[in-house]
Amino acid sequence: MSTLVEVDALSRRYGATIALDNVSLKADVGLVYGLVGANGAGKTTLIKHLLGLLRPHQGQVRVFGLDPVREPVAVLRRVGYLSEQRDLPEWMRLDELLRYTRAYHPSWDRAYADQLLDSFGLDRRKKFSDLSQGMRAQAGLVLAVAHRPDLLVLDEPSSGLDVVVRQDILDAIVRTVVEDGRTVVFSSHLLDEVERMCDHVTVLHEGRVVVQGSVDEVRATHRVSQVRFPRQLDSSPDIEGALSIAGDGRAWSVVHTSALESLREIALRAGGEITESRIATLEEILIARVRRSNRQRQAA
Amino acid sequence: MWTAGGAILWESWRLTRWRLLLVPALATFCGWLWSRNAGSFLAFVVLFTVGIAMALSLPSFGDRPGFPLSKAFARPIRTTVLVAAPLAYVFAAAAASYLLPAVFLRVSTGAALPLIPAATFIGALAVLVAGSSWFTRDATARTGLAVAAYMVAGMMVRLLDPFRYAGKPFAAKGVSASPALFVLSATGYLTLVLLITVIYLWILFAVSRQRHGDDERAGSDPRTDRSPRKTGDIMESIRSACIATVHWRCPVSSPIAAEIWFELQYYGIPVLLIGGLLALCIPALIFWGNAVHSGIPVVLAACTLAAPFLAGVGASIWNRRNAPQARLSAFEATRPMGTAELIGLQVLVTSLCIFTAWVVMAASFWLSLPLLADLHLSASPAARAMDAVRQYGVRLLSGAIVGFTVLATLIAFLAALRAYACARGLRVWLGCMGVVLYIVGLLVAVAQGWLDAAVIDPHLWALALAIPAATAVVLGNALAAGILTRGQLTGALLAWLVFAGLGCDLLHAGGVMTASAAIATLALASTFLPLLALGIAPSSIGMLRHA
Repeated sequence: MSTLVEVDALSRRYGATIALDNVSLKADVGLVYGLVGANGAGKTTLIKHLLGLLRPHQGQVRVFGLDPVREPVAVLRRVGYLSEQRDLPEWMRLDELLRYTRAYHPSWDRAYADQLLDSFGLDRRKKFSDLSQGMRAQAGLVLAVAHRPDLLVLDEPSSGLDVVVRQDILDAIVRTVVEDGRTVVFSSHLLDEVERMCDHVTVLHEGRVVVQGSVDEVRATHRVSQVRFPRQLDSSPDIEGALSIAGDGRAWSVVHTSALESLREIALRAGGEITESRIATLEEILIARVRRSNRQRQAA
Repeated sequence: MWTAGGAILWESWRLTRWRLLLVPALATFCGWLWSRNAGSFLAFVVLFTVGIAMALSLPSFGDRPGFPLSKAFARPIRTTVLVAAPLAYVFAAAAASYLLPAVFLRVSTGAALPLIPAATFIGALAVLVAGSSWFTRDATARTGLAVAAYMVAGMMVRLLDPFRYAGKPFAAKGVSASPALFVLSATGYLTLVLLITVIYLWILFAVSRQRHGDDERAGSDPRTDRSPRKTGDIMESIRSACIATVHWRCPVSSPIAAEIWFELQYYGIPVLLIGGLLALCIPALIFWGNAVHSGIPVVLAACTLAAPFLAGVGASIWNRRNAPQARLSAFEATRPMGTAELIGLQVLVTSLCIFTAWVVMAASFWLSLPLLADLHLSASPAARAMDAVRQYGVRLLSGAIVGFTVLATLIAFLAALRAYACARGLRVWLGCMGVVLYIVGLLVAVAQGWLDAAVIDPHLWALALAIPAATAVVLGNALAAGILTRGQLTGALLAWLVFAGLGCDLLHAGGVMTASAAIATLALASTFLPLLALGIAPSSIGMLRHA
């Protein structure tokens, strides 16, 4: 499987703020990669590096084996991009915007663009300024995928959209991947969306990668277990290997990466017992990781 | 005690502090230089003009049209205070922008400048301008109100007659300043107080409507909130009308063709239309000037040449509208086109449109000259044109080529300045101001005899050496960074050779080469400027594109 995107030990600062700290990432052909994290985690900064909109302060970025800063034309010609702001020219009609974008991409597929526009029910004669938020996102997606790019980069594609438009957009992305075998990198803070769509996930927190791997792998290594104690506890129990412990009194919920058996022994030693255990969701993993990282920072 | 009104005053100060500090400081410096010698009258003119400019610009400090502090609508503050605080601030700040420098000059140099009357008038003018621009978000209504405000200001000057004694001290004491240059009677002050009160009530009524959404245009789509009327930009309204009037399909044959279409359609056509409309107005202005035996309409006609330049550079280079927050939007930055091509096409289309508008306007001016009876022109415009062609021959064409290149170079430098300002912020403006202050200081020092004129020559030599050296460095860096390709550079060098040849010929014909060695060398060195612009414009935009 060939690698389209290669990010190696990338670091970036905005003044005193560390936006990205030693981030590495590889994206192979035909897979969907999700970037998740809280606001300010560094998702958009990483995406901007992939597009050559930011110059790495340390480390390197290769897209199709090229440096996107030095060779923007060769890279951008093969990339479809939907920005979070969807800052497209307000004065253009949708059909003009399509023609304008088409001029840049010889591989433009008119039939596919028409098909998508029809499925979204977009009026081609409407000015971009007259479109609603959802329509803008749909139009932006058509512009990003109609030239059948090798790499589709989506920055918060469903941010601020209602559930119907969000579903339309996700369906279109799925179709792009299934029909064409394209690679998709997309950032989102809607973790159910990432869980459903992605093959691979990278969790960022304060510019650092805290978890990375295939979605199944990441989920399989994290569990949520309910630990019950015979008496009320005034503070959270000391459970070794726990990423986060939340609860009150006798019942505590523990997110952990350790094996269930080993947690059971630890819980027994502390006087408790595991009443229930299941695989953690991405949301639970993200919250646990972020809280742990915050605790470590405060302790430091 | 920190009150809601105090918070509003502080916010107003935060939004205007730089222009309020820097511009009057510069004016004070110039005024101080002049008032040390015989030119204290000139110092008054400078300070008063800057005060008027501040009064006209200070009320516009919000991030959206209409009332500038509309974000405070949701705060627990009474509308009366919400209006009174910024209005009082605007009055005080505009008045202080004249009063403080004038007091400083009076104390430091003894120049007897008018103080309170002029400051009060400037403050009242600022309130009047606020009344026109804060009243509504609607662009068309605001334009009409602005015209009305200027008419009211003109009537106030006529009614108050503050310059009634200005002629006497000027005649008696040459160029000295005197408090009598600007006077207001008790009735005059009362009139201004009345005017300010009326405007306060007028704005209060308007802001109450804006606060509760009554100012929104019926029928506009609340989901988008972006129509030109609601953005409050009259240029945006004109541009929308231009786009709706002159419209053609975007070519899909190549990215360059599409890019030229984009630049022409949105930025170029309005400039051409403005040029065309002004070309129609020029004969009327000249006819009017001849009828009333005044040179002012003719001067006004000549001044209209600035309009296409300001409209073109303002929209296309200085403040590109498709970038909501930055100079370069993600839409532009992610186009698969090289930075040099992107900025090159922007500069080229803008220059071409401005140049074409100028040619049309100049032709209109030329054809209208027979309307001026005082010129006693016997030959027809066509005959005079033929005479000019016979007299100057091919140099007319080379003049046009050199003129166009100089215009494109200037626009490329402005694009670079804008990009550096976006990337580096205040440091760039402070640097520019430092350079301007240095040059003004040097020239004034030489003019006043504080420095020998010979001190200018080393500056000219330094500049003559710096231009080619900077050109080599900038082009080298652009090549190394991959912003310019070897092919682009070779093509540009060939075009530059033609320009340099034509430029040298014109310099020779203009007698510049026979001036002092320093001037001649600087003139020759300045032929490198288009090459410097070729390197510096894409490099600066590249800084934004790949931050």
